[in-house]
Amino acid sequence: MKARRRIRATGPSRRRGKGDAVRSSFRRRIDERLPVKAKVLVLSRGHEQLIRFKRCRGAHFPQDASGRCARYDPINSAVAIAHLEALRFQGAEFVVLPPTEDSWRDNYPEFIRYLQRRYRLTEQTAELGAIYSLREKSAWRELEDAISEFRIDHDREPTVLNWNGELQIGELFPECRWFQPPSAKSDRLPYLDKSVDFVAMSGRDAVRLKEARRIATAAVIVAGVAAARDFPPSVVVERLSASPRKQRPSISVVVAQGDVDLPLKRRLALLQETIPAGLDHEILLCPISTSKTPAWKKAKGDLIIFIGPNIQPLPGWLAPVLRLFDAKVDAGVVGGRIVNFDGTQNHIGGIADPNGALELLGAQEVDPASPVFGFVREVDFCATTFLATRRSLIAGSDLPRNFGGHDMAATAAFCSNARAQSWRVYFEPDSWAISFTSAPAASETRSMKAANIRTRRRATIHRTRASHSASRNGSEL
Amino acid sequence: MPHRLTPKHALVCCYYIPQPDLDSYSRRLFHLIEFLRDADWRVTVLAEKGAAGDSSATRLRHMGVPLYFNIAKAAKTLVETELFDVALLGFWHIAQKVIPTIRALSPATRVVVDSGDIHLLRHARQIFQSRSDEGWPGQLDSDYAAAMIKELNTYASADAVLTVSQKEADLIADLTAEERLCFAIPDCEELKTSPVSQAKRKGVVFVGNFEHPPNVEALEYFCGEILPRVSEPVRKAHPVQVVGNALKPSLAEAAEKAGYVQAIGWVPSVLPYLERARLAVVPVRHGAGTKRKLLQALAVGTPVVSSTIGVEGLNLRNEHDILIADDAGAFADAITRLASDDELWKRLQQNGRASFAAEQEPELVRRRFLEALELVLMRQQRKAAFMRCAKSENPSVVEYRRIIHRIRELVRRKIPAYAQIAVVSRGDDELLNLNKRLGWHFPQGPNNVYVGYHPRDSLDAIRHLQRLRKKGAAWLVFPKTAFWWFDYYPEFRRYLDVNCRVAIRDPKTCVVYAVSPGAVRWARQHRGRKRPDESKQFEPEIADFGDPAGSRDRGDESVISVGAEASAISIVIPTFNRADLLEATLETLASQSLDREKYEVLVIDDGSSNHTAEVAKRYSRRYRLKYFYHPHKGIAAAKNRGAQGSSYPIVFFFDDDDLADRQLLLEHLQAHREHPAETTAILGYTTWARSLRITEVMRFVTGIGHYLFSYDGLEMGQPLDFTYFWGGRTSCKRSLLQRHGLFDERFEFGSEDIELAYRLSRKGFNVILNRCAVQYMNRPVTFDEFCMRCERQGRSQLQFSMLHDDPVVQNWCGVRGAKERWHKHKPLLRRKVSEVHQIESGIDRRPPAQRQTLLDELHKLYWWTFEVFKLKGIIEETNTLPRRQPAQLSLH
Repeated sequence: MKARRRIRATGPSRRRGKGDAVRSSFRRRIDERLPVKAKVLVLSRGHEQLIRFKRCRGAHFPQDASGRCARYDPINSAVAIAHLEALRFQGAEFVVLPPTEDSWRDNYPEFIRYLQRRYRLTEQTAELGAIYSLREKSAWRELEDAISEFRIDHDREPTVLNWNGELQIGELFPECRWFQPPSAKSDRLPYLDKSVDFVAMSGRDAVRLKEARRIATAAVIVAGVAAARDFPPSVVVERLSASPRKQRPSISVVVAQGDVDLPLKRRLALLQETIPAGLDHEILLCPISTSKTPAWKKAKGDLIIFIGPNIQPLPGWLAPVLRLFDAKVDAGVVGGRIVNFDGTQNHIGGIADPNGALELLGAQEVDPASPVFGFVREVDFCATTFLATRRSLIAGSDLPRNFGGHDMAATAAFCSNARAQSWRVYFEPDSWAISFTSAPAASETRSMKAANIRTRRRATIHRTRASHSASRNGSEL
Repeated sequence: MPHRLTPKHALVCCYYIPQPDLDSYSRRLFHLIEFLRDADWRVTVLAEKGAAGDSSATRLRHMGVPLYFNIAKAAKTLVETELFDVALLGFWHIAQKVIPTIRALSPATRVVVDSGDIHLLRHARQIFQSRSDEGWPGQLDSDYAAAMIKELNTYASADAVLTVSQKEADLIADLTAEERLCFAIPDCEELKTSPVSQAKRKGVVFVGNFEHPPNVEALEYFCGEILPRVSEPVRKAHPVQVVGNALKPSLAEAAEKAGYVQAIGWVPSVLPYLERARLAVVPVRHGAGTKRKLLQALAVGTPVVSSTIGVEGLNLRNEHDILIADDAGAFADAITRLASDDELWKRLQQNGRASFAAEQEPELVRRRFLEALELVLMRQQRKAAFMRCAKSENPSVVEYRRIIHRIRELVRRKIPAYAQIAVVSRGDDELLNLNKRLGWHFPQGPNNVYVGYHPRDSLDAIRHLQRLRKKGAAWLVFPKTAFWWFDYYPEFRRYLDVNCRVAIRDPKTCVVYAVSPGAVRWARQHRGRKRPDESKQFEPEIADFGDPAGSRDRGDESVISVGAEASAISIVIPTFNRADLLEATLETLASQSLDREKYEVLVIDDGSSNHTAEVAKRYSRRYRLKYFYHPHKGIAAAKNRGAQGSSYPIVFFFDDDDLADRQLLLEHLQAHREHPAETTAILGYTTWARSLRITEVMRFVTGIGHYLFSYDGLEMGQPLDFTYFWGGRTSCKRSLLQRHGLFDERFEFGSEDIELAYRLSRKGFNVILNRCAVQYMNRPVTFDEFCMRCERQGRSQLQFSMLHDDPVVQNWCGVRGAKERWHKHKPLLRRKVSEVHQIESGIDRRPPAQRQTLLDELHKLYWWTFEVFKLKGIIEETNTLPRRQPAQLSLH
């Protein structure tokens, strides 16, 4: 992880010659290999020639809000990943790591690992570098999903026995505890029955498979043969149910559509792919018309999750939220981390002064992966547009119609009520969502000021009119 | 208002991220962190190795623990920015690295070293047990001695040492002659008794972390010498399973050769193996501490055969709770007995479990640990450790620090405030910290950062200087460490000699050139006030204020010692309409570690119109408190009233918006005992209260502008001159005030303390810094408030300068040329203030890339406005104040 952002040397080089020929060849090959009109992100330092494809639509990665090459390198992999996902949400289909940008492998190892784990490697050559398809799943995705489900069920990272030492997957999933048997050659393992979470092996040898099923509790991972060198092998994950699972709560996701948002259909599709299979859930749309019943009133889930306008959660957002509700019995409200389009942090929640002033926490931090914001912590109120709560809390409260939108005062008041009932409000650091609002901090702060004024008014003068006032002023719907 | 508004905060430093499934020590530290979190402590972990994405890190993050890595890089920043109540340092070699930083930057933090196992004991045993090639027993050597010295010094410099057993606690207590230093906090386990019945129990289990040499040796001993002595049928019925981290293939192979041995290695949990085994073995022959594997076996109800070393530190009886055997034959016999005798097995299982429950239950250990921390927090910090840490530093580093300190002093006295100074450096930002002067690196790159290399030649250096001059640099400082430049760049030196003017030349410290026309004029104007040889000018001045012995020699009066009488202290708190803040202040004074008979509090109400009297009355029931009221007269008069009403030999002037640390009064008293001279005052350490949100202006006035309680570069016990007699944070001897006078009551706000100190300095007065005497400022500061404060400060500085013509006073007050400067800056003042407001209100909304630039701009504006408000105060006071004479006041 790098200490600070480096200013990028942008703009095309003035020296022409060999470089131009290489770039031209690069463009031609990309055009040949990728579908017509495919939106391709190219890791670059601003060479326009690298993205001027004839058939495909090229774009720089990283880029600023106007699509030009960003002036700064991402501060670390976490920021790069968030930025990549933001671009994928907006339609990017492929990402290319040209051979000239090989330093990314050293500087952003987690970013490269993320690509390898989630997206299919379609091409890898010395001339082209690596091309990942953001539309297709990596061979490892199934394992990633299995690990994610394991976390929900067991509230910890799995231990994985890598039976075949040649299978280099420990580096891809460092969050798991990997280990190897004393001898990989033997068909018998020295472990007790059902004493290991996952067993990973290569090949489908029946004797070995039986032995793996004997000791594994949650899954056996069977890796096949790789299509080519540097490409991942085919992976099959056989789920077992030997260990007791926790009772999973049902969830209701209330989604509000914003003015600069992605098309609703695409939003829902993206959202759906981040919800683990087998989880009892429903997705409710916040009604545009204020005359209709608020969506959260119809929710049936044990937990209700609000995803506000112009907000899109990143993959893996749900498991940490469920884990936190499970681990902390006093958790009434849990909020995630909102990051900007460029991967920098927008905010993580906020604190309320005794005099009623609201202040955002971690607003506009360059490095969202900083330790300061990297742990589960209590906040006075959580991210307004990305929060989860228990249905029992919602049921008894008088929430404004547009709750879960940008009305910070309403969220703060709700969290304050929850805390008054001895619930706690937590920030979950591993649950990320992108905000597509163009100037998030400014608008948040303005809304915060307005919210403060409203809070004070409500408390002193027009208590009965509070909900109307909030719904008129606070909503962007 | 409660004293503590935020939870206690602990810093845990260790080598690896604590995790429950790696090794015994890691598990211990993990448990200690759990205990702290359960008790609502904030915990921050600083590990030497690891990454935030590791599984162990995730677990801690989910517990609400922020994680930092790389102790060398992160320790200083962390300790500087956070207020830790306790630093829990895992193993002495980590503690050795961190303690100097903590002592220097966070004196209030109590240092607790968790020894894990006593290394010097383990190593000594290991060496004595070893054999040379010729078969001679090993002997301790100088390497061992060196490590032992460091280990013991580290323990002795801590506020407390945690050990895993009482035996080790006693050992360290004996060696350090500190009976109260050590606390035995045993390892704990929360395991249920095995559900597997006796009939189904089968096998012998050997558990160990094979990165730990005693375990490797124990396995070799067990497989090589013990197992062959166990009969074949027993071995066949109860094969051995070897479980543990880092079991190398060669070791596993060697073990399996013994027959009926299955090498398993690391497993996710040893529990299933312990639960199903008939017995566990712990045949270690050296080591220290207690053996967790033994505790785990006892906890799940698996009887154990162990060596004497294996049960060390645990209250276990042979044949009652466990079987103990020290030679191979006896060990093999014990295994055979336990494998075949069901009655013995049952008895050992029950007694072993009961014995475990009596000592190692988590609830028990949790209580002992938290009680130990509470005790440590109640105690005073170990001050001897400060000196030791300072002495252990590299002499060249100490010398370098001294040079920096002297440069600051010289610059402060000889170069006008807010001057732009280029400093020849190698990128050390400390050199740029020049008391209200803006420092630049020379040579520098974009954004004023050090460029990273020296100029190619003299011409390059000259060009660079010209560029900087255009940018605004007025002075160029060559620290002593950069004198080689004069030889290496002779043309550059000639250029400086011809075109610039030497303002300061001190061969022991630095040479300063005035490089801009304005600076040259300034240097020329002030030439008449200098002695011919400037290098000699400053030495006696520094010696005057820096050497208490020297100062004592100057006058007979100052050798009077009142240290022996320094047994009680009077706290004088002047207050005016701050009843709420005063209440918090008095509350903290109620919970002092000093006996209540040994202090009194004098609240001087300077004409308040609120409920100050009620607050004072309420606290007068809790401790000795005297309340005085008089119409509003100003701070000096209030302090005088307090000093006159005090009855104890030490008088401590305290602010009504400060909170006292528990040890504050005790620390002041002890410091006075250590410095008994009547002329010595004690300056305590002040920082912002932890409940306050530190804004940019607050950060600026303390850390950057040095307007309020800035301790940069000051060391514990350092003698300081009269300008450090800071009101509200210093205590002095009452007899000194009796003998030489009190505050001048014409000062209504500010400078009254420095003025008194100046008068006293003629009698040999000096100030000693005690960083352990900690108090917290409990009132936030805003920009507008601080501007008003500066204006009032300006007024008082003018008063001060009119009372004393001494150049030292004039220089400190900065009155000379104030009129010209004020007329020059006045037209810009309104605009600059509005710029500050504009930046302050919008800075949070700016993109990160712009924020740093804005912050730099904001700091410059703060500097400018605060100084101009001082000028404003000076000028306005000039128009109203008649010429004054020094005050002649006395206690009687």
